[in-house]
Amino acid sequence: MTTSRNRKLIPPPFADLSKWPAPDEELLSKEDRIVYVARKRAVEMYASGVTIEGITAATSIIRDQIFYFVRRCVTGAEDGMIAGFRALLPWQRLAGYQRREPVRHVAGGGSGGCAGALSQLFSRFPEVEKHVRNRFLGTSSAVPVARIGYTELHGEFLDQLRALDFTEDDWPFNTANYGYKSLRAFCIGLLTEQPSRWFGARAGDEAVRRHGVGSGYHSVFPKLRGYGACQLDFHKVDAMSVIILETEDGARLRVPIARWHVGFLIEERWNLIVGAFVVLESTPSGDSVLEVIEAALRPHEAQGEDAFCHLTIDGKVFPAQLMPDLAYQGFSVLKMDNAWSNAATEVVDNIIRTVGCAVNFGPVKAWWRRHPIERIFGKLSERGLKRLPSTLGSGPKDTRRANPQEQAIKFEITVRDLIDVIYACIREHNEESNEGSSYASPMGALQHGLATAESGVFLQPLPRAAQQDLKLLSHIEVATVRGDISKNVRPHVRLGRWRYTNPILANAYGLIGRQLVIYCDRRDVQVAHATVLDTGEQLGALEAPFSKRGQHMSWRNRVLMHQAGQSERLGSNGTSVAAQWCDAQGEKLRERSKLARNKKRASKDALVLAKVDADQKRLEATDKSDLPSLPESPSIRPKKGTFFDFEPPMSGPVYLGD
Amino acid sequence: MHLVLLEGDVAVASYDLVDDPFMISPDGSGKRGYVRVRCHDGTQYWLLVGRGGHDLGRKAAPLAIPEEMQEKAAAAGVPLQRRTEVDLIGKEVLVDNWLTLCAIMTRARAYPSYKEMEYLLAALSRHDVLRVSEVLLVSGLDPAIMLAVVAKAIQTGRVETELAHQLFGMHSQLKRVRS
Repeated sequence: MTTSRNRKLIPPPFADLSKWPAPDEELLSKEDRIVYVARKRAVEMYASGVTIEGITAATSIIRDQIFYFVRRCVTGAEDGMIAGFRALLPWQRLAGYQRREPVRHVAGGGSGGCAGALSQLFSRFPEVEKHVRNRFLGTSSAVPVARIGYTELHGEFLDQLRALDFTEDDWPFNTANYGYKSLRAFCIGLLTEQPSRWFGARAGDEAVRRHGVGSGYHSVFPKLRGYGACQLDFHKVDAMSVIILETEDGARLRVPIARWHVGFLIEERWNLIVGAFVVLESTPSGDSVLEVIEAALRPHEAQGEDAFCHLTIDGKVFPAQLMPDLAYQGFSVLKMDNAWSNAATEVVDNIIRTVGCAVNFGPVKAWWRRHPIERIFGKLSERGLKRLPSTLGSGPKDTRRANPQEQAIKFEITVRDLIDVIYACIREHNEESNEGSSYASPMGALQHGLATAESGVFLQPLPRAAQQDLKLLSHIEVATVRGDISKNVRPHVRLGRWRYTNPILANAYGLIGRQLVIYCDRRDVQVAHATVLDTGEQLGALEAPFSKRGQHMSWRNRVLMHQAGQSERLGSNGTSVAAQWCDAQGEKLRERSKLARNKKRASKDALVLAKVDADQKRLEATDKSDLPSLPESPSIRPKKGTFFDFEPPMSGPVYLGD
Repeated sequence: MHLVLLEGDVAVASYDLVDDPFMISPDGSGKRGYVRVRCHDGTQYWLLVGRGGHDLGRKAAPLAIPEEMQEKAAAAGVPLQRRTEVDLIGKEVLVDNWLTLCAIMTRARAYPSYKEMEYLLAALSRHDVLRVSEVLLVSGLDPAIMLAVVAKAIQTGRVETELAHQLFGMHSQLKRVRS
């Protein structure tokens, strides 16, 4: 119903009475309902243009009352809307009670007669109200008291009143609780008035952040179709483990890791885990983000051992592996937490360019926005990770923690083992029915969606050219060209402790000291292309050192290998063979000198000893000059044996930095 | 989200962001940015984006247009419109569809699309109405680029399909728009 033109009491924005707030008539008492219905009919008749006389005849409501009721209906209510038909309820108060009469109360006379007393006092002494508000909500300019209690606040309140010459005959001093109940009710009422400030002062930052949860307003981000929006986040895995790194030359390096991370990409509609990646870094980086997304895009065959799970029947884990049609499936929105380095521009650009999705960064620590990820993390932790013997539990006092490092090395619980557990849990989660998907499993819901045209789920792969040349994991580094004209050290760049060059760069002595942009493939250290930074001249593909060609590993694994290898080499360090010989000879000389018979021979031996000692010191001085980045030299392990048992020199050139 | 809907507005030729239209300060202070929208017919208007209707936990407070913005728009001779989250209510399907169509176009942006475009135009000249699934069945054409061509045709108004009440998908019917 809408108003007719000449009913000016009802403003045009509220002309549609069907949108007015109205009470539930079924809940009214019989008497109230009769009164209410008559008033409502009167207002409706007014709005529809019936004459005042006609309204009075139909409802028995006189003219002045008709106008009074209509005005009440269009008055603003405390919830920000108009009162609407709620204003027609008998005894309905639209505005808060405001006391006008002074409080007359006798001590011991019960609690009656003091309604509105505190409001009246505040209106007379606004500075008292201001003090109470600021102290309670924690915004006082004085030294702040964290979360002042009601009793303490009441004490300050009374002190202020005493300073204003309130006596025992004045409210609240003439009441049993000295206005404590009223003051407390006032403070609690501030929640409605300023909820964010109230929670911040009384319940902490977490409560403030949670204020948007369950507000009744739905998100502007629709979640209407599968593979529409995906969430990406990282979870810290609290299970000590040992990486076994095998080098091309057969060395097995053990690297204990206390905690590490696993990144997940989860489709939001069904909580389907579409990709995951283990991050062996203390803090996940932009590279880690790209690895997770690539794990979700690439089909099973292209990922090799990385995505294989030894604990599932067929070794497969993710939807793109189980359903090859889903390989390189795109999505339209990626949601990430901006607490990590996800916000790196290069990473975001790469994702948008490759997948085509929009990127939405959520607020920091807003776990409820990521509730699918948090729920899955919790399930995986309980089902898999915290039950392993190498678990660190939830902290030092967790009874599940039982000397995790020793257990890890003793059992050789490798990262591969832990990854298998995680992947098996992912497969189990994706194939388990849950209430959120109407008791279908996430994979089942996906298959159903693809089969149902109206679901809006359809195959939307990346372009074929993008699939063949996926640049998601391309990485850009800026490196300075090294070399030395005076010694004819050819131009080269050093990346990851390896020396890269090619025929063009090796002959471009003019580039020494200038910078190159290197385009690398994070998955393979052999792939690197260079461009001169300031001119854009392309130098083509760079080649890894001769001795390293054929070694295919990721950039990350190479860093780990270097760190582990140097650590192990330092750990096995001991006295050099030459020094041991010197020590032995020195001992012999000391013995001989005691006899005092072969001074000439002792002098000759002493000269030889001094020469060897000088040579040894010269060698040690050369080693120390390269610290802290130790050169990667062919391993010469300290040997127990004679001084002359050296290995023959290496064949082939040895580059600086190798 | 409002910009996503602009992507789907056939009348809009382009838009750009002046200052930062999405910087929202709690007390409304600070410089207000806006979105400058240019239409194909040569007209333009400004959009002021903000929160309004219901701020969490507070009473309803409609987004007020600052006077300086009104004066600035009046001096430039362009209308100034405001957009809040209230304007998105009831448009969830449309927003979802345009998020999907924009992603389809963006991931195929760097690749040539002339073969797919030729095929689509030829198909539309033979049939007034086509299903999306029918244009993807052709071998030799890249389905990702074909989808992008379809999305672009919808965006430019060459083709229309139901987007306000139905999720875009293989079943969507493409109708040629005859100018």
